[in-house]
Amino acid sequence: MDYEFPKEFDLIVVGTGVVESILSAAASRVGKRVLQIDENDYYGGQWASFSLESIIKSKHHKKDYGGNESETNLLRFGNDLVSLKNIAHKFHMTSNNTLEEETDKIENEEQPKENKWTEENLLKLSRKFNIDLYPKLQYARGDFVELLISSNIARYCEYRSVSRILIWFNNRLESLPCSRSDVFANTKVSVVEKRMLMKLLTSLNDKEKHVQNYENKTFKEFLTDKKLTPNLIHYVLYGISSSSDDTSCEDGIEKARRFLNSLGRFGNTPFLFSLYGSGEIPQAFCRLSAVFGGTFALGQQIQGFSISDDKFKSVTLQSQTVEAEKLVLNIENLPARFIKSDKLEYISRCILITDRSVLDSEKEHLSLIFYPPTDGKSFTTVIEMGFLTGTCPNNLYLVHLIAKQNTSPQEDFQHVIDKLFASHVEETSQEKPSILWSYYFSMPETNDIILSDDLPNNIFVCPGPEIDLDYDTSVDKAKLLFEKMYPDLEFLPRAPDPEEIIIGDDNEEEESTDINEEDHDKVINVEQEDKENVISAEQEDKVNVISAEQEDKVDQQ
Amino acid sequence: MHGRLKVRTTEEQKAIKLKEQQKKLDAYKHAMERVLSTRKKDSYDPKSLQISSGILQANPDVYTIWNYRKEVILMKVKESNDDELEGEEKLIDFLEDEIKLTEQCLPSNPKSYGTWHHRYWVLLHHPKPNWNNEFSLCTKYLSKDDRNFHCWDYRRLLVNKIGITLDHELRFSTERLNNNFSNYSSWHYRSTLRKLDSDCVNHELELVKSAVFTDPIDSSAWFYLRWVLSNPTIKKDTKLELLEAFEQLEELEPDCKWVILGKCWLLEQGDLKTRLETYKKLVVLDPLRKGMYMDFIRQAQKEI
Repeated sequence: MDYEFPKEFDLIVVGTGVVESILSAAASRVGKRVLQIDENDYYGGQWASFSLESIIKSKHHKKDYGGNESETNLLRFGNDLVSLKNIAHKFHMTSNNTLEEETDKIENEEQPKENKWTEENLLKLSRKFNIDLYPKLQYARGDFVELLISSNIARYCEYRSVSRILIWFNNRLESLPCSRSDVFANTKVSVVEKRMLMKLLTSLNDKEKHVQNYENKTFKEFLTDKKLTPNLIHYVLYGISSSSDDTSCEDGIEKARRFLNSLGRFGNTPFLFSLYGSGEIPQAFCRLSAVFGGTFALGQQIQGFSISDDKFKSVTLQSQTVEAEKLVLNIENLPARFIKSDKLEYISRCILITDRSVLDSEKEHLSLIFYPPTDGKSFTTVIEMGFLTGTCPNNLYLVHLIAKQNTSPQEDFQHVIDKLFASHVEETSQEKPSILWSYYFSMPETNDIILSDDLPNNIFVCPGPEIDLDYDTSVDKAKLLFEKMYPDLEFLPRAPDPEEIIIGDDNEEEESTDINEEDHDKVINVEQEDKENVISAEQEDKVNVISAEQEDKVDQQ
Repeated sequence: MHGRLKVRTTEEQKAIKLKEQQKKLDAYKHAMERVLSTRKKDSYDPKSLQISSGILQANPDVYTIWNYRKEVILMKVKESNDDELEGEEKLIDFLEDEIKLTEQCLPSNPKSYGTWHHRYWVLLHHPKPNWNNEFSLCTKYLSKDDRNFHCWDYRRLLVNKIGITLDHELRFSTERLNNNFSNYSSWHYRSTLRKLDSDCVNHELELVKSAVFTDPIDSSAWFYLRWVLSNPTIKKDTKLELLEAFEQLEELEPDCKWVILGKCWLLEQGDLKTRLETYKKLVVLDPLRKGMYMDFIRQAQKEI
């Protein structure tokens, strides 16, 4: 690279995942000089979204982490422990089909008819996919959404609400009655059950009331004692509170409350999803960081970092050493010697491309499906994204499966896939969607990882995604780390709107005259840069939106 | 300091806002004066007419200005009657602009009486009114706010103008109810669609039952239930069944006055003792209407 970074920063952030990006934004926001770098040439790390082609090509392993640390006295970033494992992808179409289709395709740009999908024409649409490594939803009244609003970062993203919630019950998919309108419109429960359910939901949502005498009991026992009918217990236990049979009463109620509390704010369900994929979220925070003067560099070759007197000193890039007071890095980039745990829990992940929705409906484009635990299999969360979420092309669906790993992703999801999908294109049944492409992997669960006591106290480590549906744990973690880093400073105060910023005000120059000339210039430059950043960022946003909309239109035509 | 933006204080923002408001006010006053000073019986000032549309977009609730425009329209209608060659075409162009104006006024106040009335009035004077277009606009507005009773009123007027099937409207009203059943307008609209006969009365009863069980405190469904129950085709058995269901509901919600009141409607010709007991319960649960319930009790006692 030809350019040089300044020699010194207040904070260097290595990685662009959600937690470290929140920290980067928070530090820039209170005036710290931040350098955020990533070895990947994309944002997000384990939180990123990919096109179809890039997720297949991406190795998710950067390099060999072994050896020659001592030669240069530099610690190398990264470890072998925290990375995606068991990656396997496959196209599920027959090949002879492919050949026939190909000749047609050259002339005819239209999308193939049903059952005519081939590897080639999926890859042709590669860029219309935004495939999340780890899809996240957001509780409409959760900490994360509140943070987006209070810090004014919400404007950097667009959102869609989850349009329906389904639950697997009695060997089929049913819609989960959660709001008052759902309960009213539901035809599967009797009127008395409707009242019982509504009564329970209102009482659970009542924060004042505390449930007594259930300290050591499960949520299931609590529901059974309420004399609820079996189907209502199923809805509340596995759906609304997404719990298992052994979830404690306290936890179950807490989870149900979070769900119920977020109802009725945006849309019909309690959840929001960031349009164009969850990979947008870390970028929104990075953008705020950049607007407030943060320096960003992706695709960097980083040689390592140095420690002296038990303190982090500097990071060495390809040809330059940059010093900083503090270092923030994500767990992926932490050298193995600072990780105490030798075994990790994993999250099983599976991503599918299918040709129709699991439950056809005209207006549903984003479905959350709860698949309760059965026969020793974990609770599985399924998120089906349609065209309107901006994550897949028209007429196709992107399906994400998430569960705590028991054995391997394939085994963990086999029963769900057997029930919800037809496994091969040839055996397409009328109702079940066919799987066109599948991608399996294991995501390490790094939130409970134990770090070594030798870790210098000016290095702060950010975990990757955790199993929760939402970002609230990540926000808490970021807040906690920020408090440790800067105990006296405010965490992400509201950023001003562009119209509140004074551009080219005369007073500004008068005020600055007492600073010496060099500093003076700096002040003005920075101010102007920021303004430009704000404006160009805004414009970019609009362009993005508009171009995406246009694409949509073209597709629909 | 690095990366600090200079931001306006709230005081400064307030001052700017106040200045803007003052400016708007002056312009508004000036415009009103201008329009009213040129208002005449037999001719109009095109500039004033243009200004008046600006006023209405800012504040669609000035009846005087709507009336001024109606006077102008009447002049135009007369003009077009005199001009046999191009009269109608000219009038249509003029009225279409008028319809567009009401559309521009609705976003600032979708519940403006004046705007909705003006729109209908214009269409009545329109040589070729497009009622179907109005109808889809109405549906659109109702999906944005299904408690806008102006819109429901308008819909009823339109349904009389064009042939819409009963099925379509029933489906529409069910859809709105599924969205939110705490809505007097959509229940009422449903009640205007048809005369209930013995075939459909049970379906309506099930629907409204579902609502009162889902949320017994919500009064809108109870009003509809009362109307359904007043239908003479309801069988005695059905009423008894419902009474039983209400007793179950009362067990779950002992403090809800609507459940007891619902029982009263079903008991009208029933056993006197039970009726007196229910009225007494209501006196306790709903002390604000104590006098009315006491009156019920007295009347019931008289019947003996």
